[in-house]
Amino acid sequence: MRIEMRGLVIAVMAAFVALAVTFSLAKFVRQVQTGIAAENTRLGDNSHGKVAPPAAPPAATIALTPADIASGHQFYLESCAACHGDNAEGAYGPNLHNLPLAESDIASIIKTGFKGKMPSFAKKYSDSQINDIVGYVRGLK
Amino acid sequence: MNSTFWADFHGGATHFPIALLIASFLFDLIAYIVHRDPASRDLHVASFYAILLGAVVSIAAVGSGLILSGWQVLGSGALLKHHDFIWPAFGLIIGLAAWRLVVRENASRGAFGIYLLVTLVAAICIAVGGYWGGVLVMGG
Repeated sequence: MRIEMRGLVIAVMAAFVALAVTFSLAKFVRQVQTGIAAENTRLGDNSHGKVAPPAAPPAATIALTPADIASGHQFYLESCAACHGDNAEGAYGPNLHNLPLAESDIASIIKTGFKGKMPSFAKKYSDSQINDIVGYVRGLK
Repeated sequence: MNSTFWADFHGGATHFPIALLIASFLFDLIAYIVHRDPASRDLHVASFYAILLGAVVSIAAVGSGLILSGWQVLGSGALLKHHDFIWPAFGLIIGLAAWRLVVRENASRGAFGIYLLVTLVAAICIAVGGYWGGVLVMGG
């Protein structure tokens, strides 16, 4: 076999192995993390009632239709899920369920971001679209 | 090592394979065009080490990116678009480095021309993947 063809075979195998190992490792780690989370849930709360319950989120003030919430969900998947997770349960960014923040504060964070941690989305989304995202996040329990 | 560390590490590490892959392509392209010039051999050597180093560092870039994204290989939205280009780029840079390691200076001009085209595709993929990575970091 000519050396170029031998090189091609080895190159294709190397690329395949690199991708297969990477994807398999990622899948394995996610399964382990899911298993640990499930085990923690099964074991339950060991605080014996000494831990104060989390603060309840402030009451909703923005009036949104189901279509607005659905739009907010789409915007969330487009821009927020990468850091906060597909189910908003946190990844690089925090868990967004039961946020103890007023809707105006959530909207403000989306617009201005957090320096060094979260970018601003003021240029990407209008106020109305940001309200849709806030409405979606608010509905996460 | 918290998530901020991995964000900083990934942001820094990714620029090495991007720059090294593009540099490798440019060195090889110039060497391919001026193939009768004595400097072309030196350019090929520089390109060889650039793609080799780029492939090695890309493993660190990919690993830190996976840790940062919670081990999501696809994701959604901008992350999915980022991965749509990064995974092909990763596979290609590993394959290109492997081919150079095997073939060294023994490739025919025609075969090396095809190698150059594939390197160009890889460079475009990594550049577009880098763009979507920037969208993730900077918002929009």
